[in-house]
Amino acid sequence: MRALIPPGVVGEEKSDMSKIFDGVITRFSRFVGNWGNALFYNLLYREIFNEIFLLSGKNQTLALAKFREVLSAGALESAERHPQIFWFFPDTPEKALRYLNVLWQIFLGVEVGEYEKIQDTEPGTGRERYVFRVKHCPFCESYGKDAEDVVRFSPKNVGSEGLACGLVAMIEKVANGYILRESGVKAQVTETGCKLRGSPQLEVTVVIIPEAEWSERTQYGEQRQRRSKWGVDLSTIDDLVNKPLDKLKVQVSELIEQEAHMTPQEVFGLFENYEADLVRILGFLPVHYLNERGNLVEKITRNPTFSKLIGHIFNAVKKSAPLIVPPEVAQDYLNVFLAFIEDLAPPEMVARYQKWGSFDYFNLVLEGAGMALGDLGVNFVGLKTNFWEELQTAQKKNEDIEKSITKTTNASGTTSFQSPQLLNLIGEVSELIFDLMALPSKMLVASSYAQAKSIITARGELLEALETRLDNIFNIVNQLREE
Amino acid sequence: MAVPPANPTAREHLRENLAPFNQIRNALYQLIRFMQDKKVSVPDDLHRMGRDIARTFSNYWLPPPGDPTQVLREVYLDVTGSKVKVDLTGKNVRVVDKKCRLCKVKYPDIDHAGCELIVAMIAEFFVQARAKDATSINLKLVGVEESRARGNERCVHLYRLES
Repeated sequence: MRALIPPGVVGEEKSDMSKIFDGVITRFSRFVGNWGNALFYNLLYREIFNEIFLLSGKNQTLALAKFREVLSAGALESAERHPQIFWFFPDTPEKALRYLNVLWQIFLGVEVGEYEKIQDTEPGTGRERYVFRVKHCPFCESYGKDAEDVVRFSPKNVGSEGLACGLVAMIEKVANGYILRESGVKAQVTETGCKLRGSPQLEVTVVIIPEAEWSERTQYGEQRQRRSKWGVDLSTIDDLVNKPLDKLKVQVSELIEQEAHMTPQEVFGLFENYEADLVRILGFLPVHYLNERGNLVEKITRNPTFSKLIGHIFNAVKKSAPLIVPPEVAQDYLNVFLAFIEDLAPPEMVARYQKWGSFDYFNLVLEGAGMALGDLGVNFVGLKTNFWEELQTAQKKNEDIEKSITKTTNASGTTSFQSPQLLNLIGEVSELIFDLMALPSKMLVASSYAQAKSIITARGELLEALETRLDNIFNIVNQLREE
Repeated sequence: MAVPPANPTAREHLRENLAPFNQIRNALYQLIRFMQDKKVSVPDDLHRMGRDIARTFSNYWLPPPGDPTQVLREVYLDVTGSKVKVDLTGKNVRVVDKKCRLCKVKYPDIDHAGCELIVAMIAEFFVQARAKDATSINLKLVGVEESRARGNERCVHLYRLES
């Protein structure tokens, strides 16, 4: 199987949802990472190799082996600090290798660029093998042009490892320690083509080896836990999006039977004649569930400014929803709910829900979420008409808030207030919410008045907007952390 | 839309990008362990590495002109990605970096700071810039006063301005 893959597209075509997840994972890695100049990184990588080469008595074979060891240990230490980055990777080699670009970005901060992927079997052993031919090697491209590039790689050993073996070892260590940990196989990742040895491109070969035959039985392996407790990985996202209810129904039924020792019909029957309350609970519970994970919501609402901010954003969403979300879409939400409960709740209860209007369900869910936010510290009663007024009032009264607004003196000597990053963050989060809310309208308008091409364009525009918003949010949060 | 460079991994283009330092920082401490095993002078070798990095780097970029305090702030930010505080007292320069890219934790078996490499690199940038008549700043390396890798809360780098 051969494919020349353009930059940014890995292995095979991915769904839009998978692409967004790629983006979220790479941005998360940016969030937890300490970033510096890529040329400094590249030269530090070279210098680590140079030093090992000198300390190994200028024996290149020994130096390359030590270099692999040093770099892979560095990658493992980082993975142990932030294992959550690897939770969502699929744990079969074929699927995991579709996310080479994501791994590449986690380690190097840049996209892998153009590469060719060949899937076959290793001669002699018949083991599953993947060969990646990467057009631009991140380490060899300029090597040899500067006087400090002192180690020379012999072209006689074309198939031997070269300068990129450190990166390859990092990928191998993390893949085996985390991503493929419970898969029963290990990946042997080697550099089989180095430009400095005369290869036309960087070539990385991955051979899949049964765990029993894997020589490196890591001593840390037993303590490491790779899987997410949510049982979700990147390769199952499309299934979840396409058939979310089937899986959810099974999980909810199992949970009810296990925890309440009742059938789903018995539990839902308790809400007969209290249908509105059941829907409110659907908005109420996720907020409390979110809070259960480290009291996140309560920690945020403890800060009066953030508490008011959440209140204002929630009110804006509640007010704008009927204006922005088309009735057909609100009806679809109700239909999804009906499809979910039709096998689980008593038929009389389902019949009553079927008489509801399109926004009844939507508004009650929001009402429930609002109740939960109120429980967790958002004071909706004392809110002013908009958030800017809150900031102005607080600025006069509260020293803490005043500190969040940077006082600057311009060239003419007059004093002005510069919008703090906090306000930019508020703007970006609000825009993100409204972009999401406007999606159904855009799709409906496109499908009602134009051709299929417009629908695709609308979808593309939204994804682009989401990516830009997420990027901006991550950048602002990073700047806030730096300050 | 900007056209991507024909060779995005060439050094002149890498200079315009960012990279995550977490893994390579950890790898540097693995190297320091190897240096300790080989009984070489760790600070001397880290200084040599830092100087070699600056010598290559300066073929693609040089510190901008300006007063020493401002220029040092910019060099740290552009190269290491750190926002630093620079104090100039007479000829003595003190740089405080709370998020040093090469130091994070104190390892029980290591007493050396990875940022020995950074101080040598920064000083060498000015040697290279002076050689190319790009600056008049003559910055000499003094050493690392504090480091997160030695258990301090921040890294403090010392230099001296010479005429």
